[in-house]
Amino acid sequence: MTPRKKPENSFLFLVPAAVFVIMAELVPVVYTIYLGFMQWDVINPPKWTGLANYIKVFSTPELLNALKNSAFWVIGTLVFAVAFPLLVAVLINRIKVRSIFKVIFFLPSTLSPTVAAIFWRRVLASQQGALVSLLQTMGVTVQPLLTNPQINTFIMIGVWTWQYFGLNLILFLVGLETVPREPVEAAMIDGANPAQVFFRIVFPLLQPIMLLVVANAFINSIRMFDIPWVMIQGGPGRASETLAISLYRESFLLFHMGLGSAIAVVISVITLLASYRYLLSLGAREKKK
Amino acid sequence: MRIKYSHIPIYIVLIVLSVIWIFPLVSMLTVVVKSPDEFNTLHFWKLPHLRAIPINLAVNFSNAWIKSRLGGNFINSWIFALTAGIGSAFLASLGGYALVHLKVRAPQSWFLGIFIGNIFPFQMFLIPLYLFLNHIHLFDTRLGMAIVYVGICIPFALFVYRNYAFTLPGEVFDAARVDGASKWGAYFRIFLPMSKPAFAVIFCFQFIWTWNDLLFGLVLTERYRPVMTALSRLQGARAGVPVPELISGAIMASIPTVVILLAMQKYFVRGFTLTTGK
Repeated sequence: MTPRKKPENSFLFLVPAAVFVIMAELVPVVYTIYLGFMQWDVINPPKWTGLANYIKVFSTPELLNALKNSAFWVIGTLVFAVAFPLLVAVLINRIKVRSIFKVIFFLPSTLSPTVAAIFWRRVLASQQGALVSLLQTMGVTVQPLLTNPQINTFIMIGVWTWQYFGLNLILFLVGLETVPREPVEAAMIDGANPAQVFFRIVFPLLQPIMLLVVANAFINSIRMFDIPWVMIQGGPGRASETLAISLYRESFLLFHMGLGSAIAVVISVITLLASYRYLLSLGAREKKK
Repeated sequence: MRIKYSHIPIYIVLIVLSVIWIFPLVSMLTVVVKSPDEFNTLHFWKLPHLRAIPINLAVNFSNAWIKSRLGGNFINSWIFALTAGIGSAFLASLGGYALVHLKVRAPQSWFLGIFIGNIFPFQMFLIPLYLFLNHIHLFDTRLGMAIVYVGICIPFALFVYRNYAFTLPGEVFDAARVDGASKWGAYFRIFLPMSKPAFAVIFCFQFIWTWNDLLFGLVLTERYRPVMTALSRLQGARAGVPVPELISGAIMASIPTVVILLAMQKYFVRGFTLTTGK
């Protein structure tokens, strides 16, 4: 028997990590769930209100609008920052000059969302904006872009795409490199068209990386805060608020701690429901070990 | 290198996209080479005299650092990001070592109990952390911020470290223990040096995450704002910061992450795929 088999104090190695996680995450999760059932303005003692906060989340016009915007963010991210880079990765994979494009598309991913938002706000500004000035010299007049509540969420999804695209592109390119050539070439010889080859052969082989990219895209977009906050504070008014911005505004600007907590729980539940397959796949690998 | 004719449409598509991708970056360069006055009076795409450019650049960047007081925020961000990167990687290395190479009761439960922190969005911790830090008088302190950042970074760090620990042969540690090394001795002399790659990947990931954080910096501190939070404040119309100065600050704030990511592009992708277990 080596001394290694003695179990007494080996767990001490795990205690520091556990203490941090309990303090910073596990206790807060429980407390947020608890606060979700309370009405609390931080000054007066909290009052039990049952599901009133949750009813508010799904009935207040501003919060319904935030739910709608967050849905747009998720759908927009999956289309423009996942499906679109997959298409571009397939194109890049077919040509010889690759690295320059990889670097160009990856460059924005090295910036923080805050910096991306600051840059793009200047690009899109109505006065002394890069895009507006350029279009004016070509004789095109442009309506205000960021302050128009009809379109600004979609414009900001575009900014997010600009930033997030390159990371997913590179991940897809890594995935495509693992796709063996033989079945693809055999199918081409047998007369399959490129679309058939892609959907029948390449796409199934990309499954593992696809799961990672889609799950991360979902998680990052449902809790989107930085870009719409830095660009326009969820405005004009509350028009472009996402759930995360509503949470911030309700809790820390209006001091509706209970309602803010309920919004946090809603974001978590949506995230868990949407990413359970990804989490299961991580769990399945746990069993193998 | 010969380019196939059939690939020309692909190149055209990629070049058009590349122009769109580079457009904002180039336009920001035209901003920072102007003085605030020139920015307000010249057309956006007109450049100032070549001779004025170096001075404008120097003035804009130094104003961002001193007049907008971003210097202090940079120091805060360095402290937070280094603490979060080193702290989480170190604590995760202890945990990963124990989970894989020491006998711990119910290692699976320990791991899942810590990793579960990773499945919640950060918004789930925000309100209680604000309240707790206030309660224990660590609100608006560097220590409070650092504790939060380390805590948030640990679950993912442990996940990566544990995966890496599985790739190290257990016999090495057994042999060391037979030779009389203590658990701590084996950890410091064998495990830690052998797991440098995992340490480096985790450090870079968590450094970048903490450096780029906006939300915690917005909620949990007033005096010790990290740089992203400070920039988001300067962006507001009320701050009245000249545009070239703001953009200079944003560029400066990007240097650490740009350097790390471009230098480590290969490792970065590999680190990312560590999470899929490919």
